[in-house]
Amino acid sequence: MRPAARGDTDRGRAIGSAAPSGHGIGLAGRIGGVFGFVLAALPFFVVETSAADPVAAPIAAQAEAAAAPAPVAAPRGLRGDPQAHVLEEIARARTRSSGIDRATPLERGRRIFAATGGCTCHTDFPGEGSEAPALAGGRALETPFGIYYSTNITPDRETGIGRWSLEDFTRAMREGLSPGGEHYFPVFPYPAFTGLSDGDVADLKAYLDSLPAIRRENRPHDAHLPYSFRPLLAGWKWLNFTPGRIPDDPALDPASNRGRYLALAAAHCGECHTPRTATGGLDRSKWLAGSREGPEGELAPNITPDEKTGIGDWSIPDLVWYLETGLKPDGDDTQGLMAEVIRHGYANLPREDREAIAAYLKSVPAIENRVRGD
Amino acid sequence: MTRFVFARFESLAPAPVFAAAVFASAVGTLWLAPREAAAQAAASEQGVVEYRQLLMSAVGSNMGAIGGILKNQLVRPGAVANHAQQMADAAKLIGPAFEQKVTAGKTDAKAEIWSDWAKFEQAIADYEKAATNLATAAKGSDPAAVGLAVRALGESCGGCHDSFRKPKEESYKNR
Ligand code: HEC
Ligand code: HEC
Repeated sequence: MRPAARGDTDRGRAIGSAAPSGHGIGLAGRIGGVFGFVLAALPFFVVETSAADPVAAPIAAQAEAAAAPAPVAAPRGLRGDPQAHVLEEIARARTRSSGIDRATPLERGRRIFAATGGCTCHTDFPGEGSEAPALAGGRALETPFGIYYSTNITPDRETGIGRWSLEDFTRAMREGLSPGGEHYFPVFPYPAFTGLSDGDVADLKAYLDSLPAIRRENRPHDAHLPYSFRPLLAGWKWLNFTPGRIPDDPALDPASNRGRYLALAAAHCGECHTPRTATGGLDRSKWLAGSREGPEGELAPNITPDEKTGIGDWSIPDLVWYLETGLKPDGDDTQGLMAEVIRHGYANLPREDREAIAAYLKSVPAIENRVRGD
Repeated sequence: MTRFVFARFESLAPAPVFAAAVFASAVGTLWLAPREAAAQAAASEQGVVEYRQLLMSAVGSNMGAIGGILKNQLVRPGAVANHAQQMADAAKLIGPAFEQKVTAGKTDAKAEIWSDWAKFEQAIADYEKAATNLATAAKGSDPAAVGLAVRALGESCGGCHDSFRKPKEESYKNR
């Protein structure tokens, strides 16, 4: 485990003044420690019942009654949620020790895990349905370069990452290198994760370590040459990979910078929504402008603020709502990968993080790029 | 009888003209009937698709309206429950709307609807239950319950779309 002080300064740099508590839990910290974390982790309706919050009233009125206390139990109850038991743990901790205004690494880790989209590529939902063993890998990820199988990232010591040190984990996330020094194929979005702060990487590991270990051997990839040849990845990396943290954008306010950090480093929106070059790197001149050949062959829409071909007509509340519910402004739902990363990830973020991501999305340059008919 | 009719017509028109008319109308009937029937069937298939898509759009519009109220924090007492109830009521319309198998044309309905009708009906039932739950939650006093019920209702769309509606890559809207 890292020394707390180092992680916290590191985090302070990472997300700037957007994390006023200094513990990386923002609003949650202000509401009050573990209790606040539970509140913030719930859908935003709960946060809004906080008495001090001026926007609480309309929602409460909607429910046609006074604000109710937050439920203590794990709130999801929806389809397969590996975090459920941790939520319950946190809820129990809340009843034991209300008033401690400091989030544990586990709680912070759960938040960053949510920001990654819940690492759903490591759960084989398409092959095994909603009961697929969480994070045990084996999911076929179809790319134009072949089929890759995601790996077991549960704490199982034999088949998972249970033996990894924090250094191993950090090197994988930040440099795309396995503990044995091999290059990872960029289906693992380390070009995004490299931007994570040391503190967030450590917290994420603490969270993953807390999940149930599942024994399941990894499957070899099924990629065609030259994309199956690991040593060539050194060349790929030289072309397409810039390791290291993402400096704040001085043109943006702190909330948008927090959103930018989350979107770029954790949520890896660009890995799906940005088209790729012939060598499989992201075409940064079309940042977030949509990709017909997203992961698993899915069409990922243009999410720049372009009026004609992007989502220029979506308001901030539209975006915040979408990242929580997967419901578009016209009421239609979301399918495929985006539905997964919302359900198992972004929906579990504290609302302020979704707002920050929305603010960042509004700040990116509008790019005209039509990827679909309507 | 026949004779009588002929007799009457014979009195109005010369025989060759009458014969020609009978022949023409017989040929016309024989030649046109199947085409007309085909056209009618095509129109009704298109109509079936159009109607079921409009029904889905109505479901989507109610969902959108619920989102519109909650995400923009509008004060519309009773409105969320009302929209949710409309969605629950619409569940009764989904089965009949999809009863006739139409997979051709501008539609995103998958053939699995008709090969696994029981599962399709289960998806309708799950959706109806989720809509009823939201209607109930919205009349209650717990905003968190409303939030969870909205999400569950949203997921119930996916519970059907994942199996029975073509993904957006294959949607008629993107062709
Ligand atoms: C794993 C791939 C993936 C990741 C990561 C991802 N998306 Fe998506 N996203 C998609 C796909 C695929 C769709 C299309 C879903 C649909 O229409 O049913 C989509 C749809 C959307 C839409 C709806 C756009 C529209 O016009 O309908 C928005 C907005 C969006 N994503 C924003 C984001 C943001 C913001 C992030 C990062 C916080 C993100 N996405 C991360 C794959 C992804
Ligand atoms: C029991 C199955 C089922 C349920 C439940 C369901 N849908 Fe659908 N939906 C479909 C099918 C099938 C189609 C494709 C119809 C077609 O194109 O012929 C569709 C199409 C749609 C469309 C596109 C209509 C068009 O004009 O092409 C929208 C919008 C939609 N659904 C919204 C929703 C929403 C929102 C929900 C949940 C609140 C929902 N649906 C629940 C089966 C379902």
